[in-house]
Amino acid sequence: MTHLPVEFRTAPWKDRTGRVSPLKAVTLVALFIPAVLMLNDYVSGTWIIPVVGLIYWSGVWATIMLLLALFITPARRIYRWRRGIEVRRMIGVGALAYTLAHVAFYFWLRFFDPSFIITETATRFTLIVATISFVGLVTLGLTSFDASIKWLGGGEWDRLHKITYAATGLAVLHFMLSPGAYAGLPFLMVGVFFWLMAWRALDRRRLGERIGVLAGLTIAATALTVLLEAVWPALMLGMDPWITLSWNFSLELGISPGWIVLALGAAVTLTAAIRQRFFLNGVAQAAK
Amino acid sequence: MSDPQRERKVQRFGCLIAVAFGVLGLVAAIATLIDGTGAVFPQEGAYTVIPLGWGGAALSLAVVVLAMQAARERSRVSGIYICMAALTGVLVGGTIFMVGALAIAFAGGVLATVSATKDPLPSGAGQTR
Repeated sequence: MTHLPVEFRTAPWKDRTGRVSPLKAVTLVALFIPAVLMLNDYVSGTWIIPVVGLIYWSGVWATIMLLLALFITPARRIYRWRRGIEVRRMIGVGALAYTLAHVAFYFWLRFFDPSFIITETATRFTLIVATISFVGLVTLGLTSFDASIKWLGGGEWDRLHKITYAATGLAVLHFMLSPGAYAGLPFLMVGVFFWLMAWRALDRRRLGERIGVLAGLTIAATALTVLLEAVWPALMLGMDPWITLSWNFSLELGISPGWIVLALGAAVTLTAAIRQRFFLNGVAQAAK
Repeated sequence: MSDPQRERKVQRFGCLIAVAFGVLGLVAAIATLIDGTGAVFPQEGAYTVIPLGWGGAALSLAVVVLAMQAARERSRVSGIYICMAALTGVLVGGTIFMVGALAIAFAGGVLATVSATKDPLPSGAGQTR
């Protein structure tokens, strides 16, 4: 028992001091919600081909969790939310778990036929991209134990875990290359991923907390999402870009990804402005 | 293994294996491409299908480049990068020859990873983050 890594000897809802952490407990419960939703859809027969539904949604939730893990750093900087680091690893491990399930469901779809799976993995571009991302995520998972961090050293571990960006980017690209990626979620993921990566580039120049920069970034991410949603299906599927653009002004296919990216970016900008105006200024004045 | 010079030699040997078998994997991938083994599935819609060999070729090349880079460093991460590229190559290689070559390159990567010693000054040391 004592030979097990410390992560397996301690409850995931407890912090390093051994006390119950409400933040970690809530995050842990939240990570199971997608699984419950998928199970409900599977049992109630919502999907025409249940295993395809499982593949799709496990992949979607895995990508959402990866993007959420990438949002921890901006949240820590913009909102001074230092405790975010406590749940970053948990969210990352959640993403890995859903990715493993995604792969297992894909094997199930192919009746666990190794020759078919190997041939398809070697010839379908989207699966090559997915495999690179998958190997990256597994590496990240294996090196997330405290013992691995100690073995590699902090600097080296940081350098290795930069592959999170590439693995997430490839996961989003895999989604874009998947059949049926003509609108909606894949483009939402691209918009959010662009926001997160562009924020990092700006933050290196110490611009990540400026409200004007956050607003500009939101507009750029929205424009990219709308443009890509028009251009990508035109290039890949020969769809009319004007029809795709018109979906931004109708609710025929639900709320378009451009509007969602705009809403998410605006929410971050607005809450950052409120926090800076009413809370952080107060702290600064009290310090004076 | 506690002798740093010996560890360095073993690490370089691991990188050498990775380079050699990465080159072999590349040759196998090019041979597969020239051989004309085409796509297995018809191309339709977003199902982008590429000829067998391209994935293996790209990843063999990545193994060679990463192993050459790793031979110059004393970092464990460089070895892990070799392992990642070789393992992905094994998974998408497609032909038994390429899979075999990259599996041995993977073993070279493992050797380079476990035999690498930490630098006296790890990267990022002393920098404010």
